[in-house]
Amino acid sequence: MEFITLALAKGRTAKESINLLAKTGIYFADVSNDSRKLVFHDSVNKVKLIFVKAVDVPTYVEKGAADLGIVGKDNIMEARADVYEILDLKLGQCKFAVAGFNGDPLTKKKVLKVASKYPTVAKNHFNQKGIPIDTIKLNGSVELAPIIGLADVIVDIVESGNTIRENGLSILEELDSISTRLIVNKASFTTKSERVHALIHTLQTGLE
Amino acid sequence: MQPFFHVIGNDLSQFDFQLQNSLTATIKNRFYTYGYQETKTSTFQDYDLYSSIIGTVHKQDMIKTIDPSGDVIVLRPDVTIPITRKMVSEEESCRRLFYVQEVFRQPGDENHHKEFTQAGVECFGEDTPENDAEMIAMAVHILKDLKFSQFKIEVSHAGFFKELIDELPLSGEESEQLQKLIKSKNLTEIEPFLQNLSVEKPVVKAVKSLPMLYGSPQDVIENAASIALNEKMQQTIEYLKQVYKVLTAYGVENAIVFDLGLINHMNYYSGVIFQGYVASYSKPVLMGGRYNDLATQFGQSLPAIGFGCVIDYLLDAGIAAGHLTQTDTLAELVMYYEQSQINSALSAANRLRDAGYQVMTLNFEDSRNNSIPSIFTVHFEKERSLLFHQQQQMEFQDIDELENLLKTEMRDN
Repeated sequence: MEFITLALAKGRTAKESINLLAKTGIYFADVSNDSRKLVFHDSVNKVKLIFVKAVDVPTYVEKGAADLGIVGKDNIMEARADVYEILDLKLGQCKFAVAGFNGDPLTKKKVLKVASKYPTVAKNHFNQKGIPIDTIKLNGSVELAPIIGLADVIVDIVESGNTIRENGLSILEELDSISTRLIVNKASFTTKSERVHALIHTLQTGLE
Repeated sequence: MQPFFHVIGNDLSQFDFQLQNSLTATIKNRFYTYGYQETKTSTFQDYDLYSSIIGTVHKQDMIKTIDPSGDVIVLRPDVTIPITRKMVSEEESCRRLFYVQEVFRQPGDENHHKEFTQAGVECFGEDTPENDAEMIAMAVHILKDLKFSQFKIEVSHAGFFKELIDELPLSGEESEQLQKLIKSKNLTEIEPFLQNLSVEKPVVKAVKSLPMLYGSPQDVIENAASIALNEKMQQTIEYLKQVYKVLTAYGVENAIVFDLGLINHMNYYSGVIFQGYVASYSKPVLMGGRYNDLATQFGQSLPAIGFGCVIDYLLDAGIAAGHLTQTDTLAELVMYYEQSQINSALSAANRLRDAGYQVMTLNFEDSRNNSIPSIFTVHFEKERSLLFHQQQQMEFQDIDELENLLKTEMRDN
């Protein structure tokens, strides 16, 4: 039997995902948090696990480098990858939000400057509302942008809202809910259907 | 001169081009054996034609140029539309056509290709389950010809989804959103989406199960029948059942899965739609379906079905799977001559070419440092003439004798 490849997003939900997999009997013996290894094997279930930067998981799966992937909805929305989005694993739940200084910069009649790690998501949201924007792509510490005048507002994922508040900003608008999803390559879904469908089913039962 | 290292197009290496050529020849031959005749369309097409007709190409995906009179021209973004227009305007014409032509699309990202080679067929004038099944069977046949060991054709029907969505009070935007959710089999978000719409329970159940109406044709037909909301949907299922029966008669049922969640280009397709995947390649290598409404837009009712293979994808997938091999890299016959023998050598070469041999001629003087690998080698020297083949050396007196020697050698090997 051939190995099927599962891409797992490094970062905040990795450990929970590994635990969920272990609960369903898919177990990677040598996985530990401080390890620098990126590839692991479950030779009983014939599953190969690869650790990938979260933003890259949709790409790996869309291109077929991985048959399946476990990654946050935020990265799926930003990548707009052509994949199946089969299961909600209900891990890492949070929300997209627009944040900025109080006083509602959203209603001012000018081009809004929006800083975000998710420029596509930001563009789609404001397009739908008919508000013209300039996006500024940042890779971290997005809260800084309004403070130093780089942008009017930010679009980011928010769990508790603490970081936003501690930096003197407030949430102006809440957008889509986010959680960790199981995504599947469209070709693998069809050409390796037996293996792929079995794994989906296993995870599904693990969730119940 | 400044070297042009920056490559704009996607030129293949000579080796890959040879592979592509033999792949294309295989496909062309298969189309031919089903009674299809080759056709051709112009590279330059009318922008207004594509922007006014409901097809499969978006305006922003077309590569445009402007002719001196100010009209906008596009580089052929698809082959089906010009072929259909031709069919409508010609009185008596062949109703089974195939083509192998480039199509041009503006990629979202400038690093992606703008040019693809497509090999496709269109069949006009028939509208039966048998006709649909023949198309699908031909697609299977081609993937078998190309020696893909593992592949699947996903089959769906545009009618089923259209009739289902008719039961829903959706705005244009909402309909698009729902299609996106179904295409990505996103069950998680379909449910809350439907809850906001206040639709009846059986409709919710039907829409929810659509993405998972996937798998073996019998199962899908059975499950689809249990959620059908009206007479029309029942008829569609009945039609698919008949298509499947014919596919079984072709003996290709193992290569078929049904996926009623496959809903690409719903404005364009009117009946059966399908796409093919090969193992370990992430994009569909062929797609097609029935498009009975296209000719109507040219003022004539003419049912039609067709599909296209993306040669570039088949080539990539075939190379990755390692079963595409080049047949003959060796030259057939290379002839070396001494200057004094040039007359007899060149006239012998021409005689052999007329007889169908591939012959290259080289002067001994020029060829010292570059000999060409070949199956046969001939030397015209002052004292004698020789034929070399598989470490054997044979002497001959004249051209007739050479031709006879070649014939014998070809027959014995």
